[in-house]
Amino acid sequence: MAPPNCILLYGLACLAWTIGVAFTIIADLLKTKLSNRLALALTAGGALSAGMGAIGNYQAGIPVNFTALKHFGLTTLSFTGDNLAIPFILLLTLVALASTLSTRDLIDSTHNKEGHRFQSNHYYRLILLLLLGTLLVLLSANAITFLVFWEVMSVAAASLITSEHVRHRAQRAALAYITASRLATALLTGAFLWMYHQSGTFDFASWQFQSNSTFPAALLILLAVCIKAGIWPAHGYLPQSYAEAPGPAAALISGVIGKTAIYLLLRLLVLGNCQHSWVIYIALALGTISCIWGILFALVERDLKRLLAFSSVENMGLIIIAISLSMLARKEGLPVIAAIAVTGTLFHAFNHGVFKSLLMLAASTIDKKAHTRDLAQLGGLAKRLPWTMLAFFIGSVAICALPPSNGFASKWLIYQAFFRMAIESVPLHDRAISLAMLGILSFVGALSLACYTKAIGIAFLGRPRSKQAQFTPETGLSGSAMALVILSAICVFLGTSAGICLRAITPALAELNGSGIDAANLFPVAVAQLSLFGLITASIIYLCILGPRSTGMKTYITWDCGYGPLSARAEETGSSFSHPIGRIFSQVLQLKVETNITGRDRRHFPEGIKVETRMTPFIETTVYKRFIEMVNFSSLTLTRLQTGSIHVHLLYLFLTMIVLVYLGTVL
Amino acid sequence: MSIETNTGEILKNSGTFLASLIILPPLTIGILRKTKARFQNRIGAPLLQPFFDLAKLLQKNETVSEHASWLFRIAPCINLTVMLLLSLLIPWTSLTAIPHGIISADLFLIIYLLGLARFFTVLAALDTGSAFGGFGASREVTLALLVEPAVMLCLACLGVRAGTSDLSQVFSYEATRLTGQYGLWFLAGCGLFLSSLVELSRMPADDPTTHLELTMVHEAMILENSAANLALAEIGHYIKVALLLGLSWQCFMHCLPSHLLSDWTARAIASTGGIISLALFIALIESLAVKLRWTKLPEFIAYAVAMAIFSYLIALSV
Repeated sequence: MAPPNCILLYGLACLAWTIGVAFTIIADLLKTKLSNRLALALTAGGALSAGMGAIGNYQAGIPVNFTALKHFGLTTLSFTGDNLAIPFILLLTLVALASTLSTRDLIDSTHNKEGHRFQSNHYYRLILLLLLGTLLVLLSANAITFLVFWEVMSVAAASLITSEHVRHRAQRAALAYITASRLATALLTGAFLWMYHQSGTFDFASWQFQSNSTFPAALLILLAVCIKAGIWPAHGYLPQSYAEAPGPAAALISGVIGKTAIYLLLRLLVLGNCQHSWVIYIALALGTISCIWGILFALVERDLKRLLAFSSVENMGLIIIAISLSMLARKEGLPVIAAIAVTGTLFHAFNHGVFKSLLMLAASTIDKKAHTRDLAQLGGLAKRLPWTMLAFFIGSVAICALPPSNGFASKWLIYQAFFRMAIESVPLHDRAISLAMLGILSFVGALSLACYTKAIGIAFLGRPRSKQAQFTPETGLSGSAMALVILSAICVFLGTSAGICLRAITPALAELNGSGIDAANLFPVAVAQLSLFGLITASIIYLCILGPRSTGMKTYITWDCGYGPLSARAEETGSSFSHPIGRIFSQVLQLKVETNITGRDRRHFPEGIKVETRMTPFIETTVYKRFIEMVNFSSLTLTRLQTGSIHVHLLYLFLTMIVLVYLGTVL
Repeated sequence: MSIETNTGEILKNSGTFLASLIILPPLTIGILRKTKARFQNRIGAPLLQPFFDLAKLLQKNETVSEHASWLFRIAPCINLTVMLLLSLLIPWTSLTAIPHGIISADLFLIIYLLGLARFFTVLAALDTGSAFGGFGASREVTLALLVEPAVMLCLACLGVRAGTSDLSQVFSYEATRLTGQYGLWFLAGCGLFLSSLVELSRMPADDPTTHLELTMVHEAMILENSAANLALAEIGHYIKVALLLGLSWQCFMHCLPSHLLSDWTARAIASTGGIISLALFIALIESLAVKLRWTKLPEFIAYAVAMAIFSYLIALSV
């Protein structure tokens, strides 16, 4: 397909979404509600056309350049659609379609939990703006364009988090999200200005990060990306905001928005050939810490959505690690390892987008049905939400990187890159780090297995722990269940036919790495054959051994030690499941358990037992709290400057002007 | 490496492999139990008792908890399948079950396949809503996450020295870069053996013969399984015992002088004998040592991790 068609399709997507935004504004003015169907059709249509644009753009050879749409202050508003953006645009399409499909089931368009009217116009407007901003962020060709749409995206996401703004938690979450995205934008602006100063242009394509003078910009970009992606220690806002956003929006925010930060890192530092060892090692260190930190906190979390958010911290850490390894390998002159690491990054970013939005949608389905996300209240959902259970199960297999899922393929690439790095004759410290990373990654893998067996086991298996979890079972395949099933099918497909999918990534890899390596050759594990063999063996075992006995099978109670019927209170809870691990890492988690047993002969015949677990996250309570106190204090002090008197403000203006004039003459 | 063309060789290899896969795992358990019984001055069950048990279980009718979901009956099938796959991939005997070059026995694939089996076992344990299953599951994932880095590091160190992540090449008896690295082989073997004691729920970590479910790990997880379902879970576990003991024994075997193991028969006998002697050694440990308190276990696992770290240092330094 010729490039102009792609321009048309991308343009069509933007047009559909812009029309949607306009419609919601008109509907607001007319004090009516935009029809759900129209809004969803516009969202899906735009997403489809963006996806088709990306497919048409694929292997188009030359980057599609939409130049000079309009003059925009410092520079032209220019876009480019190159091969690097394609995986991310496809991810955007996929997640947007899935969340559109599930919108009607997950969003109660009449009333929300507190009985306040849900503002559907407002919601659709923000979703459309979010999609528009994200697509154009991915297509931006220069810094100014990027910043504009980056802001559109961030503001839309922050406003979506406040959809249920009557809740205090939502307010706080939005505030935290805004703060984080402000910080990221500020750092990015600084970096962009620095690079403009160095190179004299705002065009991303002409920025190179080899020389020493670009070090501050590279560092600032890294920090901004870390904040936006939720890397330790800036991960604090992630769990709050993901948990508060409405279901479909949470899927988009967790699945796609964080990935734009990864995209920026690839576009600038990897394409710009960053060679600063400090940047590389800082990225590696931050990524490693957030891997361990994120999954540890996910493990002890009780709220299902917050658990998923903490696990995002882990996965983002993994992606950052892979990126830094690719930069390191390129610096050492090892193009094959760099290619493996970059492929791992791209594939994992895509995969994580798919299975995290799948898990997020499933968690929202549970939230919608049971009106709680607290694991201690859930249980036995396998019988009530069979499709959701199946999808959540496959998503968990994928996020734990177990074969034959897509997560395994991408994590394998990251492992393999570190393994090869340890073999090569690179400096000893690089080999030591690489080999140690294998151990750390396997540790993180085992932790995530513990985390997701807990999530499935407590939420879906066993029996209901509260009345809330005893709702009427789902019948048939609703829209949200369909979206979940499609996403999980994609997970399995991406995993079993990783070769084909990696071949599709090859153009992006060629652009990032500059080498003619076919990404499909980097993943030689015969997952498809093995899973076919496994499937056949498992079916034979089931049909030959368990199947014939199904007729004589007896259904009976779970063994109760002869004490009579067990109540759901005897079951393992989420907290008790993760307690042994929590205790081993009690120094990091600051986990405290207080047990209070009352009664006369309290040891043998207790009358009341009260157990309370408390966790005070170290970073939040010490670092963040101090920081917030400092900001509060300084702003209180600074308010004294703002007297409200026009004369004083004129004096400020005058003084500023004098300073500026003086600076102008001196510099 | 080229695919072996000698049909007789392939037949001999796969025949012996199949025989050892069927006989060795239950036999190892039988020997272990018999030795423990002799240590306790009991006659003990016959050596082939595990076979009889399995045969009996396969004939019985199953009882399933009313709270169980579809996972409960699928899990043992998947578990056994994964173990069969692993028996083809892991170099647990000196034989190569599948000719080189068809499927690479990738180290990361093996570790994550073990993870897949664990994922299903743990979920099946949680499925019935029994408190014991929950306890067992929680302990299993805790132990796994402590042991996993040790296993990964031991194998990765060997792989890094050999320059490949394909374990069938790392453990091959042809001259590789690992030949003569006795220290590395021995340390990795020790690390793997200590880790497999924990992974297989043997004595210092877990007492498989106790009657108090509250203290158990593996037995607590399969408490609700019965009849054929239990038989499948047990077969899977037996195979896992043979695989992991075999893997650590292969490490020790590479420490032996190479002229002793020059021909096929000597290696096959040594591999089989090694697995059985490791089983005897475990029986000895279980008769002399006591089960460690749950809170003391991380200290025990620290020995395995220490072995892994030593082999890490050797792998980097040479």
